[in-house]
Amino acid sequence: MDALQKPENRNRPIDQEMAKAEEVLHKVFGYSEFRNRQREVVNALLKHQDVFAMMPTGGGKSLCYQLPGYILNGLVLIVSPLLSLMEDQADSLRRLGENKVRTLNSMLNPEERKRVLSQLRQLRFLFISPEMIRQPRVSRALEKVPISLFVVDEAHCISQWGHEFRPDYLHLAEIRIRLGSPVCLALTATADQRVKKDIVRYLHLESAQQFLMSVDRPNISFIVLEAKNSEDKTNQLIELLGKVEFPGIIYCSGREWSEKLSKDISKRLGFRTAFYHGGMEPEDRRKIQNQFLSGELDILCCTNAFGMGINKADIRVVVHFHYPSTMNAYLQEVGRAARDGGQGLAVLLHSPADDRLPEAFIDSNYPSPSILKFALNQLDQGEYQLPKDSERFIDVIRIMGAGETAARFILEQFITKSSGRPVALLYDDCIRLIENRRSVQMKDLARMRSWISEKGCRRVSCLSYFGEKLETKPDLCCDRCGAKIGDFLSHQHSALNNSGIEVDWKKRLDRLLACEKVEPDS
Amino acid sequence: MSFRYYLMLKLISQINGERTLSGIIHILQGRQSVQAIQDCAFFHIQPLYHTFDMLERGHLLSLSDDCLGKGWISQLNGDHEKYALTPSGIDTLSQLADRHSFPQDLKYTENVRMETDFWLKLQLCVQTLSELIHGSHSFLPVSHRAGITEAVRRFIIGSRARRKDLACALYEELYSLLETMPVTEADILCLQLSGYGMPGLTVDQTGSAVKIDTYQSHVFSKAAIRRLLHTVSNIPSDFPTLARLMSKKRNDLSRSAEETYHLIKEGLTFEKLTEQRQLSHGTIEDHIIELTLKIPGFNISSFLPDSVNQMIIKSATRLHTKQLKPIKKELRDQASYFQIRLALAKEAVEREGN
Repeated sequence: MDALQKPENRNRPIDQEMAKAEEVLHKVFGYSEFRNRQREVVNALLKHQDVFAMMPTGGGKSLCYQLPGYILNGLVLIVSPLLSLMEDQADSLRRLGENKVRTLNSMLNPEERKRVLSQLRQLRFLFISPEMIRQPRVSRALEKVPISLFVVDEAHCISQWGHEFRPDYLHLAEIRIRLGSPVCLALTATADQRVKKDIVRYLHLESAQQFLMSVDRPNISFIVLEAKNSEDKTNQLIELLGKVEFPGIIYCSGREWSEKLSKDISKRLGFRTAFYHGGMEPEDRRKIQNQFLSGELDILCCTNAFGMGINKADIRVVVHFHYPSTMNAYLQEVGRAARDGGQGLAVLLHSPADDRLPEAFIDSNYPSPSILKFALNQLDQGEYQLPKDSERFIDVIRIMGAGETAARFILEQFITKSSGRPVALLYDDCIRLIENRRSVQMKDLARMRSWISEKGCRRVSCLSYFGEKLETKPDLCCDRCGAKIGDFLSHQHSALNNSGIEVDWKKRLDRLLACEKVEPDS
Repeated sequence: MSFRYYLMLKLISQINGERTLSGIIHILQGRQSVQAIQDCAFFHIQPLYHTFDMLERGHLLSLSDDCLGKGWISQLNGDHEKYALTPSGIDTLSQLADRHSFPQDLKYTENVRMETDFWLKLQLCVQTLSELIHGSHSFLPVSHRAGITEAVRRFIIGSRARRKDLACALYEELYSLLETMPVTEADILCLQLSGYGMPGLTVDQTGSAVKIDTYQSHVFSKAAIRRLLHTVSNIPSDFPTLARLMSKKRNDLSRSAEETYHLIKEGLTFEKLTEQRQLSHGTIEDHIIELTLKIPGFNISSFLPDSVNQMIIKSATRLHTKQLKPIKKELRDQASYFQIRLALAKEAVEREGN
């Protein structure tokens, strides 16, 4: 009898919960139905099953933890790797009218941090950085509140097989146990076989339900254009933008380029353009983002600082003026196009001189042997009290000329592996590790390059990299399958609207605060 | 685009090779060092203090390279970080001065420490009210800084007025303030404001929107903010809404200097001060300079005998410099560096007062 009744008893409340989930979907999020595999993911989570979900960018990942937050009791804790991403995600909840959401990261001052920790019980969502969650004071506070869902966003950061590796992610499994092993949801957009394996292994998700969707975005076409040099690339870019539909994003390698291209495009085409990079004031970045989201810009020239968490559905074209160092990163960036389901275009401009950039970027992730030796000796002699002096250590190493990633690498190696071992051995370990990782990244880079020079179908090639086969080829697949810039011509260019900005302060103030100035009664 | 050259040439002409380019950049960025504050007084460029707090060092460096390339400025012998105008630079500056000047309102620097926060709060406040009165609850706030969002939240929630009335009050106050400003300043200020269906511009973008040099738009924007703050803090009763967005005015002194000030008023000697405060001589000296610059009528006679003071001033006038070393040399070490700094600071303050 028991065996027969059990599923019944279990099923009924779950069905009720799914009915409730539908209701929340309509009322809170304003959607009429689930997309992709969202229903299955939410259903599994409500059944208290761990989930590993891979959905392409724009596939509606966030909803998978947002929605259960309104049904399960307790705090939804979201580990997120990037400050800007965290704020964007928190903002997208605030836009739904949610005010029980906070972020916890190194940007908060100690008082603010204390305040957030003291109000954990009143919160529904907490976004937290992997460094912050490791701090004893923070994890002690978290241990005291019921956690309904432990979300690991951008879970590919746990794997060293990629340029976004974040060592702090490796401690998440252990932290999750300390928090009473709440249900875990690991999310990522793109992960190849190695990365998938790492996610399962390091997060202990062996028995989790897996929902792994294809990375293919059939409505985005791929075109690669070869150029002689930067000048030629700029000319081709201008010519391209003069023909295809807006709005568009141009990815380039650095701040100077983003500013230069923005200037060139606006001068030569008269388009409304702006640039966006990590060196700008946060308020300026936010203004540019708002302008882009509200359709006041035709083209945005940016570094890879722009994009994570950006949700603009009608981006028609993504151009890479410089290419990233992995296929993973490329697909992430390209995936921001055409989320509305319409046609999207991805163009990569390539010139031989570009091939130097990604290698330099990879090398900047690691310390040089001499810096490594110096730093390890200093750590060994107790010059720094860890983890208290971590930031000071990182500053010192940066002044010596290494990047922040390189400094964090040394720190992580020392903390996890030193415990009484001679520092010379540790040095050898590190050198070996660097060689290994570097060779993996060089392989990723080689893969990216071979995709650029691919003679066959680009979609097939890209999918095979992620261990997938192409099932149906879209009409406008890629340049190798016959797609041309001419297939994406715009019909709207003659009606270019360049007079949008209201300059007159009186009219602006009127529109903003919607009050007529009342003349005093005579 | 010529305003930027006017700015750079004017600065270099005022400083005349007595400070490095970095020293000039610190003034424009508004460093809180005693050196930067003192230099402003020395070289009569207080209005420009903190006018480019948001500008990257690299932009100013390439601006000076630009001027160097045009042959308007040249490096001083033996110090490639110090510049002076060349004859063609002097010519160019006098031509540029016919067309350009710095806006009057820049001189209101008395609230300089709060101008950045006040402006961020005002922008977030206008945006939030604008969205709310249009029935929109979902928007990306222009600022994320914890202190700013907290203050605006308190401002809106803590007000008993309805949102619509609060927005109207803010509108009225802003309108009457902007009406008294030069139109371009008012336009540049409002172009930066965001709200419902109307994202704000960055200061750089306002430059191209009203077709002026971006450096000029920075200066206009600052001038407008300073006039706003100046008027509101002088007659808060006329602008009750904006006055609530201002931080409580604290003494402009650093906390540590303030403690030292209290002890000086109790009559402690220099030696006793270092003992009591457990601070180095250098730090106490910095405090005394800061007090001299910021407290009107601060009495320095116990640190600097009048005879020494006069000797220093005479020497500085004769040598036509504000650099410490040559003065010390000429006085054959009869005065310490600290005494020379103090004398120059006092003199600068007094000249300002006249």
